[in-house]
Amino acid sequence: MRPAATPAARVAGFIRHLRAEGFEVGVRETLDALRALEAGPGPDAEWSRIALRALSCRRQEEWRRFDRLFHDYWQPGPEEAVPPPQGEQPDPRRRQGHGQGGVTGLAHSVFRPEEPPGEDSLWGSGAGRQNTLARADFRFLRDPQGRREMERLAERLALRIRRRRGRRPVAQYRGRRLHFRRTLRDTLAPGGGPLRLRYLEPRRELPPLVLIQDVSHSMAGYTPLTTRFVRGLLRAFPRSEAFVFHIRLFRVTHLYREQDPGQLCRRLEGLQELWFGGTRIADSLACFNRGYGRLLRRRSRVLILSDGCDTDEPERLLAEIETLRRRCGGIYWLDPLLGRGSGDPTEDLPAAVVQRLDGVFPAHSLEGLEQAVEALSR
Amino acid sequence: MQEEIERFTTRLAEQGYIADRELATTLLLLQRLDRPLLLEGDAGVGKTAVAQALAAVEERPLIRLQCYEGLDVTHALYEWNYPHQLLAIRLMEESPSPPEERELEIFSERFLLPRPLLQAITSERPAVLLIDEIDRADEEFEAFLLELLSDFQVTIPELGTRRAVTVPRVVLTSNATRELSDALRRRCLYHYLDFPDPDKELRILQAHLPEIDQALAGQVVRFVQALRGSDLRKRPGVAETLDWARALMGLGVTRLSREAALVQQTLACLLKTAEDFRAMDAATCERLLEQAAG
Repeated sequence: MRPAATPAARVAGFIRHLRAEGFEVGVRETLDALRALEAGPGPDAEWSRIALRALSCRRQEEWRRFDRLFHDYWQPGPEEAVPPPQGEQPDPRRRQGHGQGGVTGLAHSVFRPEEPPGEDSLWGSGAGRQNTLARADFRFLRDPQGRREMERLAERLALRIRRRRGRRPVAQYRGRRLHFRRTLRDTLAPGGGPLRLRYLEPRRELPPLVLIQDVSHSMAGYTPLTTRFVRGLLRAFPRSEAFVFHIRLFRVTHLYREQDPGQLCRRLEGLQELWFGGTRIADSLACFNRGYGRLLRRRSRVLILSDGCDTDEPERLLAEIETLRRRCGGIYWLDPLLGRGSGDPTEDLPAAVVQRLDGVFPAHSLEGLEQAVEALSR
Repeated sequence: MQEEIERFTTRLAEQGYIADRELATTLLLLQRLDRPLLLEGDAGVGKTAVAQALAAVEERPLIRLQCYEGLDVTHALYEWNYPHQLLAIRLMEESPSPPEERELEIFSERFLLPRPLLQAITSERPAVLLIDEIDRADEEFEAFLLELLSDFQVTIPELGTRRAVTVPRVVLTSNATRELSDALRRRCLYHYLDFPDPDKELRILQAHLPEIDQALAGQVVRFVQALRGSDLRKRPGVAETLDWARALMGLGVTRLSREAALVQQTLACLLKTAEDFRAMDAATCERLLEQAAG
């Protein structure tokens, strides 16, 4: 069992969190913070918040951000608990789940050590709670523990693809070792000839995967879930690349491949330009096609995670999807809004775009993500 | 602790300062940590009044240093009393004492004129030192303050280092007209004073003008709050609200909606730039009055 952190260590951890957010908090402030908390009325959140804010803020913008950072660090979870500072208009980003753990919404999941897998590690084993979690819409899940568990399961779900690709050899049309049984079996259909040889070879490698994740305002409520899912897919598919976009496209493969979850979170939080702009899907895909199209192979799969809320014209999106389609082996679209309505993808995406996709799956729940995993592992 | 904060808030209110719980807690923290407090906020939100109320609550003398461009050590810390020194030199001409002794005598504390900073740290009674509008002072002066704020000591070349006899409560205010140095900010607790919400502003009005008609007070507050939401170059602070309410009471106004013309004529209490005056035409004023009528 991990020993409980001392109050001093917890305060030091929070100060580190503030530093990572750009606050210039020195050793003296840390010591004074401890003095102030000792002088306070014991474990009083209000006193602690005000004392730490007075000691660590230097200017107005830090003052405005502090309450949110404090809440995210000590009481991660639903965002409505913290009112905006007096006189400040509520930040629209907060209304859209921005406050669920730092800029990325990940703090409450990756700052904690990975929970050891339980006996019923995925919902398939029939545990009631996990069956419920499998169908729950992540955005409306209020229980912080449930949210953490769901994020963890999303990553593990993605990793299942790797497990399915076992070592058992399968019949292939090319190879070195003849597969007698399958060759003879295949001669039955044409009446015994002509003979077409089949070979026993290891299963083909997973195709290269390109993940393009929407991290704009409208997706903020799902970002913690989709980020963990993307991270799992990156680990499952050895030759994969990850991109995020809002009004611009960013290549984030190196960030998402970070092994240490805490380090990943700190690095993501440090790159705030990545998160929560408006949405220009067509423009971002055009940027991908121009700058990173060379990464695609004939077998490559492209997975786009987006709600389809785009400020670009639908015709541009269609043109970019067509360009993408010519270069890769399949395009799949994961849409968090799909699971809420009638299930018709044309409600969120132009019909012409849907026709050119190889699959559109809901991404609001684990059940939806599993459908995508099934498709990708085929 | 909760009771202590409540008690402190009440004592501030008794001195006419309506503080929210957060400010009261920060002031208690200032007492416990003996660190200076840097208050930032728009002009007229009550930053200076915080120091005045703190001094009154703690029954300490308030020593105020008003900063301005060109403020130097001789105006802030100490100055030698040159006329008296000259007189003393003339009187000592006949003295048999050696010149070194006479020099020591000339540069003794007898001829030292303490300015606010020195007064604050040499006062036998602990004081509240208000360094008002620090952003108006030069950066050199800000650098000079660092020694005082971190160690509560100052160095006078002729007399050596003077340590604080009593540690004063130091409150610095800034309107953020210029960026203060990180070194100064690092030495201070920080609190940002925003414009008060309607409820707090109403309580401030009632505390300062107890004779005001309640309905008028409510309308004044709603009008000012709506005015702050307008696109103004200089938003009115609490001090302007109080001035305006006093002016309206003096003119015998009981309801804003009945005196639209008078409201327009008294807006000089709230608006401080020609640009804002031009923006506040009759139609805009009428709209704000409707909002104020609730």
